[in-house]
Amino acid sequence: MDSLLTVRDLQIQFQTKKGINTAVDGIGFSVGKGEILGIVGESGCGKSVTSLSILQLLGSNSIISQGSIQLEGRELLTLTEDEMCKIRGNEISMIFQDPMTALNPTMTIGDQLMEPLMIHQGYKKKDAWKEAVEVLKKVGIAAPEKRMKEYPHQLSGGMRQRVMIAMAVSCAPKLLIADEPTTALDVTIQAQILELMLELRQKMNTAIILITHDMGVVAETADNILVLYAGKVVEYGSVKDIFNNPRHPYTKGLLSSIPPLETDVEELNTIEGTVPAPGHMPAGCRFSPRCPYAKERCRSQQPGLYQAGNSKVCCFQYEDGQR
Amino acid sequence: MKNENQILLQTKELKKYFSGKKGLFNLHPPVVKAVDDINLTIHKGETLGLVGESGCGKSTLGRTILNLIPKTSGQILYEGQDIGDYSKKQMWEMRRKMQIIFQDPYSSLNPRMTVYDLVSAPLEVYGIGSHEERREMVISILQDVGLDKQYLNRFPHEFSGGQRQRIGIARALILNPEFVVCDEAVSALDVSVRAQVLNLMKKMQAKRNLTYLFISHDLSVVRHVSDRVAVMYLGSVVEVAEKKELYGHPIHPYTKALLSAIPIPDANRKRHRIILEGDVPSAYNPPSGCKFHTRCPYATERCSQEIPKLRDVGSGHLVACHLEG
Repeated sequence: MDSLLTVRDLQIQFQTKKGINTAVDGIGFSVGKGEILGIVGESGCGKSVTSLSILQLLGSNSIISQGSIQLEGRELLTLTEDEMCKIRGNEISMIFQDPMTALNPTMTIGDQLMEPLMIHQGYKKKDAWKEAVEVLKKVGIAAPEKRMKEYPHQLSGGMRQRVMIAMAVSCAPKLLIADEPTTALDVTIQAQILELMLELRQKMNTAIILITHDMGVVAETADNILVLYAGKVVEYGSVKDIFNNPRHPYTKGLLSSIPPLETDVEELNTIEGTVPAPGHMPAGCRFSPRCPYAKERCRSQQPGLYQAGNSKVCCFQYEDGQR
Repeated sequence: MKNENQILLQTKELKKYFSGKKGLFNLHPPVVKAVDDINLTIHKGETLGLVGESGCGKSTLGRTILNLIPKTSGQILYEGQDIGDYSKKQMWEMRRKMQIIFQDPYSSLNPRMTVYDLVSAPLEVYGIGSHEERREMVISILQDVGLDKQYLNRFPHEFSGGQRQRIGIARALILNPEFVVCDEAVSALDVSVRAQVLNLMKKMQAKRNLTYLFISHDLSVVRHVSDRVAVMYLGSVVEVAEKKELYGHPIHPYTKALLSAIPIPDANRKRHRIILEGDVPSAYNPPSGCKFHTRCPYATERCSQEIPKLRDVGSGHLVACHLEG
């Protein structure tokens, strides 16, 4: 697959009252055309910050202190705000977790859908209306002409998320970033939305970055997966590889702490302890205080990202490139 | 330890309706039937899982059973006594036996109270023990839930989500209750922490012979903790069975769809998914007959007219569907 987006050695810091916190430290990955990359991790691992940085939507207290983000070879980090505006919603667009707060409550669905079409694609109002109705049909909304005149509060949660997706794909973006798109939804509605995203990928060849904490969602939709822990890449590889043969102790622990749906276990596996607080990162491997296999070296030295099989793993166990 | 035949709690035709305010322009305010004619039995020492999508009435049912909100009609029998008609004073006595663990460990703990104040509050309310004895009891229960006594004088904001939920559990269990409603008790936690808290809840159940009503929208968590599972849809229970029976041989079309919609963390299987059309109908205006008939792929004429009753289809597997049997 041709690479569409390449992120290299990204570091993001936040200025706080207590000093500088590094939220994301040296993350790198690439997304090919039409590929679905799942980014998983627990709260505070930096998955949302990473996705926001691609569109440069981070707040003013943040600094992208190093790294590069390239869209088809074009560096995004050096673009001016005006140039970035032409990319947002046009070449790269985003779906947020909570469709109620992401949609404007004082604008009709139609006005919100027509806006990007008129700004980016230069549509006249009449044509934009027609196009918007088409997009609503594409995402499976019944009676789209009627919905165009309604406000967000008149729709159900699942429908609002469909409208968000319609807005995001209206300009046929090359990359869609979905930040926990189904977390606020019920399972039966989640199944509908995931199905819709897979369908859009097939029809429009849109690449998708799917950010989630739900390992099940990733296993069923993504091609590749990036596991983050405390701002660092822990494991990166294909979904098949990582689910069949998790290598990093954190990935192993995470997968085994999910209650299975078809078999009984008396006691769940757990990862002892909690995620380190920002500003209190351990000196060596960030997982070392919770890792059952941690050795002296893990506590003092940071491991690199080593090739193991077809995946990349951030653990000294795989330093020699075997297993 | 489980006594299969001993019934701890039973609801009979339990109903809880909420109505909007009546006013000059609103003579017939809309009524939401949040809990509509529910018959459930909970045995001593078991965990009954209660699953359903948001707005199906599962939390309302949990709170109505505890008499935290007054029922509209029907009976709540706790060891044969209808607690729905209890006076305030009688209910105050009952509360020692019935506790609840809430979903959000951030808003359910008073931020101005220390861990000791929070956990000892129930003891003080019921005037149990001297000051020294209370301190001993708090320390011992904190140890049970995996918190060191050095935390006694700390405030909730100093703890992580998982630790806060442990405080919530300690507070619910300090009076030695018999029955605990766990309302989405682990839903706000991260996966690795969730496993710790789930293990703790199971351990405490075995140790204290607790009976749980475990309310959750997460079907894999419910399968892990429950002995039996009840599925709710729009205020009604549509299916109840032993967990193996329910997950292995679901009968109601809604249960089938719900189970097939769960994403499974396994990359080798592509399952056949039943994708339900449309959204859950509004609770203000639920469909006639079987409430699921508008989304059911097998619905017939009869389903839109007649409300199906919950019937036993063999060995305690209860289903409310016209198509079965």
